[in-house]
Amino acid sequence: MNTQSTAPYISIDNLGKSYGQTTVFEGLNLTFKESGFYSIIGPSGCGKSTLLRILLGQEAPDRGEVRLEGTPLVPFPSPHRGIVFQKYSAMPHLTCLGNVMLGLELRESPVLGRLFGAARRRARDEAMAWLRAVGLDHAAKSFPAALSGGMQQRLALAQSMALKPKILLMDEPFGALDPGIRADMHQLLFSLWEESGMTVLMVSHDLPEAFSLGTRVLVLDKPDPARPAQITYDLALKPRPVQTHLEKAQALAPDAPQTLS
Amino acid sequence: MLTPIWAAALFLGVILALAGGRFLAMQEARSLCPGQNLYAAIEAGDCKDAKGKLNIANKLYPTWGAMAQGFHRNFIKPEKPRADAPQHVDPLRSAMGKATIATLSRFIPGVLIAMTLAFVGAMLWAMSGHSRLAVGSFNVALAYVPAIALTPFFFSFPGNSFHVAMIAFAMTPVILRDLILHLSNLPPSLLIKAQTLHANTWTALLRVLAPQTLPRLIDATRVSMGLGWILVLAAEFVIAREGIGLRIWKLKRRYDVDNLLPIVIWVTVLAIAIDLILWAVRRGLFPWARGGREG
Ligand SMILES: Nc1ncnc2c1ncn2[C@@H]1O[C@H](COP(=O)(O)OP(=O)(O)OP(=O)(O)O)[C@@H](O)[C@H]1O
Ligand SMILES: [Mg+2]
Repeated sequence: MNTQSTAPYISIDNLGKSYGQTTVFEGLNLTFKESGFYSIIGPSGCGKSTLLRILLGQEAPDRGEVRLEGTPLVPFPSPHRGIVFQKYSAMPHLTCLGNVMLGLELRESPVLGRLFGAARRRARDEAMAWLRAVGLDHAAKSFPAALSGGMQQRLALAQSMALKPKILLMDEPFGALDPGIRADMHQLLFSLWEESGMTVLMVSHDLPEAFSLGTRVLVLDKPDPARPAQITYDLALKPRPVQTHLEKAQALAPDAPQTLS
Repeated sequence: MLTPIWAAALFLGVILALAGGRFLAMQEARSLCPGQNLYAAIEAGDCKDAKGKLNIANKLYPTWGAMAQGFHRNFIKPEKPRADAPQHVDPLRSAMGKATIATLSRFIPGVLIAMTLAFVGAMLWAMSGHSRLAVGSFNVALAYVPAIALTPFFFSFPGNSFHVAMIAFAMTPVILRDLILHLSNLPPSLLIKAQTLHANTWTALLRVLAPQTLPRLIDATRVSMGLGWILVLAAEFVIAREGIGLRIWKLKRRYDVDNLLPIVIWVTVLAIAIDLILWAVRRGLFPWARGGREG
C-alpha cells in the first residue's frame, strides 16, 4: 500500500523562522517521503508546533522554502493538509455529523456552504460512514461539548479524514487522553493511515507512541536557548509489516479492543 | 435569569422601603407635634404642619390598598368607561394597556433593528481585514455618543420612528462592540480548521463565524436592553401622544406614588419578561451554546 517513491514529497530547504529576538529555526533542512508516518519529538519550546504551523501554511517561513511535490507551499491553510490540534478541533455549533459533513458541504458548495437534496444525502451517508469508522455513529447527533476528550479527538480525526487529505498534521493529538483510550486511538490512526496512504506528521511527547507508530522518528532539540533548534536524531525505523505495529500498540495496552467499534 | 428568590427579594425591598418611609414620616410628624396624641390633635384641628407632612407621606409611601386601587385605575379599567357599563373591565383599553402597546411598538422594532444592524456590522467587521482596528475604534466612539442629546436630529423622524431611531442608534454600537470582542476572542484554530475544510472567506463567515456569533448577539442584546428602556421612556418624555414614558411624565409634579409605583413595577416585569423570552429563544435555537443563564 505504501508506495515509497524516491523523490522527496515534502522538502524543507534552509528554513529560517524568528519571533522577534528568538530564532526558532535557522538553516533547517528536512525531507519527507510520501506515505510515511513521521513522529516528531522534542522538549517543550523547541519549535515543534512552529514547524507544523509552517507546514500547514498558517505561518510563512522568514527564510528558506518549503516545497510540496516540488512546488512551493501555498502560504495559507488548504484542504490538502488536514490538521488535528491537541484540543478544540471540532466546530462547537455543529453536531458530530454536522462537523464531518461540513468539509464535504463546503467542498461542493462554495457559495451557500450547504448541500440540499440528493447531494446532501450523499454527504450525510459519507459522513456517517466516517463516524462509524471512528466508532462515533451512536453520537452523531451530539454536540462536541457533550463528548469526552477521546471522542472529540476521534471526531477531529474523522472530520479531517473525510476530505482524504494528502498530508495529515497532528499536534500532540492524544496528549490529553488516558493510556487505554490512547492505545485505541493509535490503532485507529494506524489503520486509517494504512488504508489511505497519506503522509502523517505527528508531534508527540510520548516516546513509545512516537516509536510504535512512526516509520521515522525525528528528534528536534534546542540545547542552547540562544541558538536555533536542530534535528539531533533522525531514526528511520525499518518498514515493518502491519502486524508488528498492531502488536506493539497492543503491547502498550494489552486490554485494548482488537477491532474498531 | 430571574429566579423566584430574586423576585421575592425585589418585592420585599419595595415593601421595606415603603414601610420604612412611612415610619420615618410618622417620626417627623410626631416631632412637629410633641407631647400630644398625634391623631387626636389633627382631628381637633391642631398641628397643621404635622398634618401636612402626613398627607404628603400618605402619597409618597402609599399603602398596598392605595396601590391596588392605583393598579385597578390604570391597568384594569378602560380609560374611557362606557356610560352604560361603568364597571366594565378591559385591560387592553386601560390607560396603561394603551400606553404599553404604544411603548412596545417603539421598543421592539428599535431593539430588532439594533440587533440586525449590530450583527451585520459584526460580520462586516470580520471581513474588513486590515481596517478592523479603524472600524472597531469608530464603533467605540459611536457607542459613547449620548443618543438623548441628539434629540433635535431625531425630530426629523416622523411619529414612532423618532423613538425607534433613537433606541437603535443607542443600542447598535453597544451590541456591536460586544460582538467584536467576542469575534476577536474566538480561537484562531477554528478559522484555520475551516480553511482546511474548503472554506473560503464567505463560507467561513456563513458556516462558522455567523452561527457562533448569534448566541452572543442575544446575550449582548439582553445586557444592553436596559439602555433601550431608558431611551424609549426618555424619548416619550420628549415627545409622544401615548406611551408609558408619557404616563410617567404626567405624574412628575405630583406626589402620586400610588399611581407611579405600579407603573415602575410593570415596566420592570415587562423588561424581565422580554429578557426571559430572549433567553428561551437562545436556548431553543442554540442548544450547543453554553451559558446565558445567571445564578
Ligand atoms: N506567536 C509567537 N510569538 C512569539 N514567540 C513564539 C510564538 N510562537 C512560538 N514562539 C516561540 O517559539 C518557540 C517554539 O515554540 P513552539 O510552540 O513551536 O514550541 P513546541 O516545541 O511546540 O513546544 P511544546 O512542546 O511546549 O508545545 C518558543 O520559544 C516560543 O516562545
Ligand atoms: Mg507545541
